[in-house]
Formats: sequence, C-alpha cells, structure tokens
Amino acid sequence: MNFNRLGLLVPVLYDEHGSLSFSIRGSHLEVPKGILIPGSTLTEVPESLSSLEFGMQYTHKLEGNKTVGGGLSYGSASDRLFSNADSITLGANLFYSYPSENNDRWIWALFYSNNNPVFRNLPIPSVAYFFKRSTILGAVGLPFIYLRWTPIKDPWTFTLFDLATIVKAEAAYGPPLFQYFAGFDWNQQTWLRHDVQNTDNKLYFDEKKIFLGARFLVAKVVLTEVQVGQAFDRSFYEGQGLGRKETGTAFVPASWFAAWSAKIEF
Amino acid sequence: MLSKFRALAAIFALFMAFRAVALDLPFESMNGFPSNKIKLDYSGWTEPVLSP
Repeated sequence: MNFNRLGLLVPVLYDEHGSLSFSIRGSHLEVPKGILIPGSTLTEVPESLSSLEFGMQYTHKLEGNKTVGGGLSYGSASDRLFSNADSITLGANLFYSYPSENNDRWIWALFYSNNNPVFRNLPIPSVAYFFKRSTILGAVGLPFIYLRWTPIKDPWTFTLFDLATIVKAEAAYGPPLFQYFAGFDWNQQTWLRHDVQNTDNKLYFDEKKIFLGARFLVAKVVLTEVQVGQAFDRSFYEGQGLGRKETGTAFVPASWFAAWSAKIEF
Repeated sequence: MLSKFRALAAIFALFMAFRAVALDLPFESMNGFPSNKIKLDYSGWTEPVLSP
C-alpha cells in the first residue's frame, strides 16, 4: 500500500481586523487488489481511494483579544472523485474564542461534516480550554485532549492526542527542530463510495502504527520528517461509525513501512 | 436502565462525530490569531512490495 497527502493554505487577507485564507487538500491511498469485505455490495475494495477538498476560513478579531470566525469546505472523498452527489463532502465550522486567566483561552465551536462516522447532517457543538504553562501546553475539551509536556532539565518532549479512536502518542528527544522520536498512532480514514446503496455508509480504513523517526530542518525553511515502523491491526469495512459496522471486516496483513513528510511556511 | 444506555450511547456518538473533524479544528485561532504565512505540507508512506 502507498499513501500520499498534500495540503496548501494561502492567506489572501490579513490585517488588524481579520484574516481570510483558502486551502486545498488532497490525498490518495493505493490499495492492493483482491481485498474483499464480507457482506458488502463491493466486489472488492477499490484499488484507488482519493480525496480533494477546497476550503476557506475567516477569522475576525474583536476587542479584548476575542476572535470569531467560520469556515466552509467542499470536496470529494471517494473511489471516483466528484462522480456524483454521493461522493461529495461538505464541511462547515463556526467558532468564538476569548482569553481567560494566565493567557489561557476558551473556544466554543460548531462543526458540521457529512463525512463523519456518526451524524450525516447534524452540526456538532464543541468547547475547549487552551492553556500554556512553563512545561505543559494543552487543549482539553469535549471530546478530545491534547497535551505536550517538555521537562525543564532534559530535552524531552512528550505529546499525547486523543479523540475517541484517533490516538497519537510520541516521545521525542532533542531541540524542537532536530528530534529523534518514537510513537504510536491509531487512525481511520473514510470515503464515500460513488456506487454505495445505503448513502449513510462510509468505507473505512482503520490502522495502528508504531514507529521510530527523526525530524529536522532542511535549508532553514523546510521541516522534514522521516520514520520507519510497523503498521498493524489494519482493516477495511463499511459502516456508519465505529461500533456501527454494516458489513464484515476485511483484514490487511501487518507490514513494515517507511514514511516521510515536509512542511514549509513562507 | 435503557435510558442510561441511550445517554451513554449519545455521549459516545458525540465523541465519534468529532473524530472526523478533529484535524479541522482551528487550533491556531485557539491560541489567538492565525499567521499570515503560506503553508505547504506533504506527507506519505509506503510499504515494501513482497512477492507472493
């Protein structure tokens, strides 16, 4: 299997009153032939699963360091992008953020996505508390948690992100722009099949990974990362959410993998 | 008993709904205000092709 993802964010307006940015994100997963999902109307899992999404996000600054904003996205995540209405993804968000004590922040938000595993056409409310202390930075909210602990004496960084069945845990050694790390990752991707019979069903790919790697600056502007590891407990299935499977499960054998990434800001 | 189960199921469903939008959370805005920089990011992984 192979996976590639590319994202571009371009601010088109930025002043003391607000910012407006546009984004494009795309991904592609190459799947081996002959993966069969028991009980699915699929003859086999498509060999090519892609996504392409266009988005815009507006943030307006208010008095008292408060911010309010919203965003929209339109795209497709499917075996045949934009082939019909069932393959279209739509997303929207609204948020309001204001400072608290110690430069902490509260954020209240409303999210909508038709490519989420539970609700198809229902906005989801959220609240989170963002804080920063001498050694701990975090965001704790409903229903996720992000914590980053950097002990003072040694150049270690411990990071934990958990949102239901998305889990990212990492221990890194070294300064922020040159680190060695080891971690665990549990993630899922979903697509909307162009020929699905029950349009509430998504095609899921669920996998876990353990890995070792390094991240470092290249040419002072590109933060790049390389890692190797083992991907395991991998499966395809169709359903309306984790625990709401509508088909059987097609397991994919565990495998070693190599991964790389690059981030540029200018 | 059933209503408690439904309440738990509803909480879990809310939990799950956030899964899909997790990466869309405007974390930058949580920390104040977005930056004015263009951002380009790429990531990928591959695995060895094993002969049958």
